[in-house]
Amino acid sequence: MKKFLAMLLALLCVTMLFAGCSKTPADNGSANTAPDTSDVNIDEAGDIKLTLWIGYPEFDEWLADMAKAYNEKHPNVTIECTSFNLRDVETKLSTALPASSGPDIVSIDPTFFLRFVEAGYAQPAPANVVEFIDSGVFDEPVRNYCYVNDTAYSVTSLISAGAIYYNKDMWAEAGLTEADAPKSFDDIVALSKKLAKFDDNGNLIRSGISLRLTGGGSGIGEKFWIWMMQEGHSIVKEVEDGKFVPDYCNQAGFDTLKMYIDIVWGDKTCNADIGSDSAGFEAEQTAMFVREHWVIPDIAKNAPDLNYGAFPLWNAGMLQTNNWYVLGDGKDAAKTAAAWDFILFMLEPENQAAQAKSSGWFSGRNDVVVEGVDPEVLAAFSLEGKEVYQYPSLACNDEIQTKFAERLSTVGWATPEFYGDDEAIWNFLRECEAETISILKENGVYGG
Amino acid sequence: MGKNKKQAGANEIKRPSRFQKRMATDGWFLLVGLLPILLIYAYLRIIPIGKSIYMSFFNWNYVTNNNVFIGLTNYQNMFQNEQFLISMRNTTIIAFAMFIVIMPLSLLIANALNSKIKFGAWYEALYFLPVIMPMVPITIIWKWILNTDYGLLNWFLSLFGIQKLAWLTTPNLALIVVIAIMVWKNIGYNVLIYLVGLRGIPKSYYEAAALDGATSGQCFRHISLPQLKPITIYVSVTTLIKGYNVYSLVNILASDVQGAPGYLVRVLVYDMIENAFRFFKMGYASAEAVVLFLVVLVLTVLQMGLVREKKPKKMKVYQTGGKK
Repeated sequence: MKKFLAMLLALLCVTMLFAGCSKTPADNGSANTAPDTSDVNIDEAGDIKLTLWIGYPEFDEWLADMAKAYNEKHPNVTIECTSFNLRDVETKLSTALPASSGPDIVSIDPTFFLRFVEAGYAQPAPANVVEFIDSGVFDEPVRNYCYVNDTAYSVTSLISAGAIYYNKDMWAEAGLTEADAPKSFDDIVALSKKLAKFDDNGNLIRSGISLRLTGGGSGIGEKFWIWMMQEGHSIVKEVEDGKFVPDYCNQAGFDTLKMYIDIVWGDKTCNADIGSDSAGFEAEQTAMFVREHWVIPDIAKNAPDLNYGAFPLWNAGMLQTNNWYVLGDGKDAAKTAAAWDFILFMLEPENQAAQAKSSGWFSGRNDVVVEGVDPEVLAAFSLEGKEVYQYPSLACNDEIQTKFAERLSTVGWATPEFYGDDEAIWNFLRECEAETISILKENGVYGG
Repeated sequence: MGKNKKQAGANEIKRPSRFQKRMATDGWFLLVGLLPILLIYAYLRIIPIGKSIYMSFFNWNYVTNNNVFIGLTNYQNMFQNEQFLISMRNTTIIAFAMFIVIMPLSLLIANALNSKIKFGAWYEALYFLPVIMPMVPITIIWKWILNTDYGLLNWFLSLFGIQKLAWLTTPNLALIVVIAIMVWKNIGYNVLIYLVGLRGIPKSYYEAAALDGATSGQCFRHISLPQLKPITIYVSVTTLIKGYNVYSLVNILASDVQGAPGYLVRVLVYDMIENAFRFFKMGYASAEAVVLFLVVLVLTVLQMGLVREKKPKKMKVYQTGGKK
């Protein structure tokens, strides 16, 4: 035993010695002032190789075109683009950046990337990029995402908003018209009942509405939030500068969860096993679902004959963006200049129109016209006249939303006993709220 | 009095220790020869383990570099955290269920393959095939087989009038599915190891037993099993370690179209990765890693202790005439 303890102690000593020598993020030479790249001539800077990461494989084709076109313009600059799925790119960045092995350019959700910006991993935008950001090509809420503490660190690469997709044939089959577009949770429950189909044994063979019930990390929480914001509330709300409180243990949160439970356990017009989301909609296994713009080209590609439309969410919409960041220490001025120049190249109006057409993700620019999409469908995504919600500037927001999502999917709508038991629903929301408060407290941002 | 003791000590002849004895022969040569691999092992294994222990006492955020010493707080929080307790429970169920099924089954299969059966080599290859197949593609194949609507398994069960089962979205079923696939994936390796062990047992033992009239069952019990003891230790330890390290299977099997993990079968390694790389709580995740390390260490020591060769008790010799 003595020998074991002595060995353990020796091991700890050696480890602490090594821990002291290990590299920390502070060593990465991060800067919080924009590098001066004004006198850099990219074409005379020799060979420059840029690496770019993105969390949307839908961008592959467009990015390849962009890299090729830019290389024709600047033959000494080559750009290597790599796409991952969304969660993977977040995990890869989390491990690569502290090890100084990240890409030169990345497109990522600015709320996820906030803590990296604060830690100095992103390069502040140079003067010409700031000028572009402030030129009026972005609407104010979109432009705000480019800034952190009054410094511009990024430029918007895409925006997204949601709408309710519906299958027009199923709608007509149920005797519904466009005037029956949903305007409340009760409407959603009633419409789902009319549109659902069962086989002779009572098994659901077509859901009335596809709710996000499983998978998706924080996505489950996000979809719940999109419904809840129709009644004017959010997962968390800022009560004073940098201080937050949970905002779902209230009537709006109760009504939203009750809608899910009524659909899943009351009328049983949606369940976790039937085809869902865009795949289920394209396979005609569901009549309605809420999603962003990107589904439009996805349908065009996978189910071109699908007769569908889109209704706007009746009261509020969520604006999400992904932004282009330039990473690294900025010591290589030519590389930094080329990276920002390539970003500006991608953001040219004709390239942004091509992005929307190819990837389905819309440009953040307000002067880009999207062609080839049914204007009625497009209009459903408009945020005009709606209450607009955005992700809060809160580094622990992902943890809050992911853990809330986990509780919703494993207990919230997975417990049949909750149907008709209002008190049980309230108790569940209180338990979730306690967890959210503890995360906020742990991060020193609780404002209660 | 003290002086006398010192004098006595000085007069004692120092006996060389076991270490000194070893070093006097070929010890130094062996140590120098092993040094490079020992250093690599220390750098890649021992130091990371030590650093994880060190980090577990900190609120360690590798992004902001704001690392604050918090003592045992991570451990306290961990044992009060529902997600950790659920993942610990699920991982333990998976590891032990896998252990209980794999151990006897692999021995029985190996024993059957060791007897002269037709197409023995083909069966061996068939059992070993899942071991060499990469986890990701086979998990995706299983995901399709287990699909509620289009899956082969539900189609097969429907031939017997059994209703569709939601294998991946019903919590208990999902856990059973994970265990079943883990067994399917890993049993071939254990079968192979047992087979090598069985083939290494000298035939003369069985021949001698046969001459004494032992049945095949008695031969298996009294010759094969004791001879396979070192292999059983190795196989049982590696099986439990594999069970506790389950991650990629669960991550892919319970994922949706976005490729994000579901929560029905939360396991310890998944919880660790989520806390470290998604919520940036490296200190807390390190504490979880330390607990996993200790659990596996304790179980390994226990297994080795349980099957260790018992030394025969010293025979007491009584002189005739009793005590004087």
